[in-house]
Amino acid sequence: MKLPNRIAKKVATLSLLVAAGLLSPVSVSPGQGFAIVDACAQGDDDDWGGVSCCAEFMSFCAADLTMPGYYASERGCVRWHTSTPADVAR
Amino acid sequence: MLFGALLLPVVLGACEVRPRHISAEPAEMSHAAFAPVGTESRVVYDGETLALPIGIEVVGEHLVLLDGAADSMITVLRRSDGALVRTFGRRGEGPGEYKGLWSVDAGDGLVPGRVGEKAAGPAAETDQTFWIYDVGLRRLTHIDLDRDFAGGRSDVYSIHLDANATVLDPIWLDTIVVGIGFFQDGRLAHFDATGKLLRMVGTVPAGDEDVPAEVIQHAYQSRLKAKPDRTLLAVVTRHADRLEIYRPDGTLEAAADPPFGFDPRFVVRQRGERLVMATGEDLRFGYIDLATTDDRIFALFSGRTRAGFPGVANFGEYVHVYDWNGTLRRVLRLDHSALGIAVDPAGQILYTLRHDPTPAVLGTKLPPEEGPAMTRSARTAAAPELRSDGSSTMLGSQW
Repeated sequence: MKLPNRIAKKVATLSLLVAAGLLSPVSVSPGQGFAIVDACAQGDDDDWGGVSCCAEFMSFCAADLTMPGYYASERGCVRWHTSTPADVAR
Repeated sequence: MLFGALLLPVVLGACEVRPRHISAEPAEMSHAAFAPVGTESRVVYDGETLALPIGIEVVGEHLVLLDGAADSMITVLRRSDGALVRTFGRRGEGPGEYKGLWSVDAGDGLVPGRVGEKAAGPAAETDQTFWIYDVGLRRLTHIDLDRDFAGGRSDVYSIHLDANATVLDPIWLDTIVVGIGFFQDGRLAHFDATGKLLRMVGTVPAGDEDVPAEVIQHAYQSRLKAKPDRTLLAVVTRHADRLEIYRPDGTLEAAADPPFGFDPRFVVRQRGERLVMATGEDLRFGYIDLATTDDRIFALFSGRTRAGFPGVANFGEYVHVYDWNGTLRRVLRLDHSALGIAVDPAGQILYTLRHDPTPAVLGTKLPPEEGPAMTRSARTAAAPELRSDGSSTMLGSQW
């Protein structure tokens, strides 16, 4: 059964926070769940729990790349284009 | 070359990231001197189809919403009552699929396959057509609400913009497409109707000559919207309070007097063999979206720093209303933080995107304009009349 987007979003965020707590401060390699684009607007610090690229909505990590895999929110770093918890947890 | 790269952080010391005394910077620019006009919104739509709405545009009698996380990434509403008309757009890279939704162009009735010719008949009369731009795929996709969803068309008409750089906010200008982006030269790019790059026009924002143009363009990331008759283009900067007005040929027609006068804060860093832009907690957001009518430019303004508004610095509560000469006419204060805006053709209703507490489209009936433009002297005169806390006065806009 498919969850409504809003519920899915909340569950996804919660899942991500749990995941971030387990993973931080270890950076996760691309292909392991974090589609990291380097040269982030945030520089190379671990401001976002080990995610080296986490910019705001509609911001870019580098001039010739597309949008970051994560966006910065009040609740921390959330995966861009996430609609199901599985997308975050995998 | 290497020496130049090593020298860059020194050259750019004035905009070093992460200053030690961030607190010296205000978390948000004060609008006290602008006597902002308070407004009151109502919910137009907050249905379950919304997840993370990122873009909104008025297309005739419809509102088109772009969503960054919903299963169906595009939502169409009826403007008159907020009724859900349709959702569509699955994630992917194939025909009719989307990877990184970015903007909507009402398209002015252009006909796919005969681009440049204005539509005759139902499409033109009912404003059922528009273009969706996907920044991830660098692709414009034509949508005809009547034909595409009534079983009358099986193909998907799209155009790939053939540029070796990120292109943002492409819009049709008669027979060509013009976009802004992170180009190595020029401020605007012209493409033909097939997406082939024709030329770059305008000039890259001023910056240190040692900084690569694409890094400067990244720092000056902007949004572009056309005047409805497509004779002028408005460009606002995401990390500055800059409004530029261009002619389609790239000639700068006007540049607004910046209300606060701040520029993007960034440093240049070496990443591998590349120089890239890096920013920090002191980065301030300026104009994050805009909408236009025949006589006004509505620019959604943040004025917030990352440090002061963690995770929500890219939202704004103020709308700076300019005329097409670049003169600030008034400042509106929303009753919520918004990520995106659109306006009806008459300039009477402002539509905004809200995320919290729930994602929604809000409508704000705008109070009539009163008084002169916001000249510097007018701002100074207005300031003493404000309350000591700098809050605005609700002028009333029953909705």
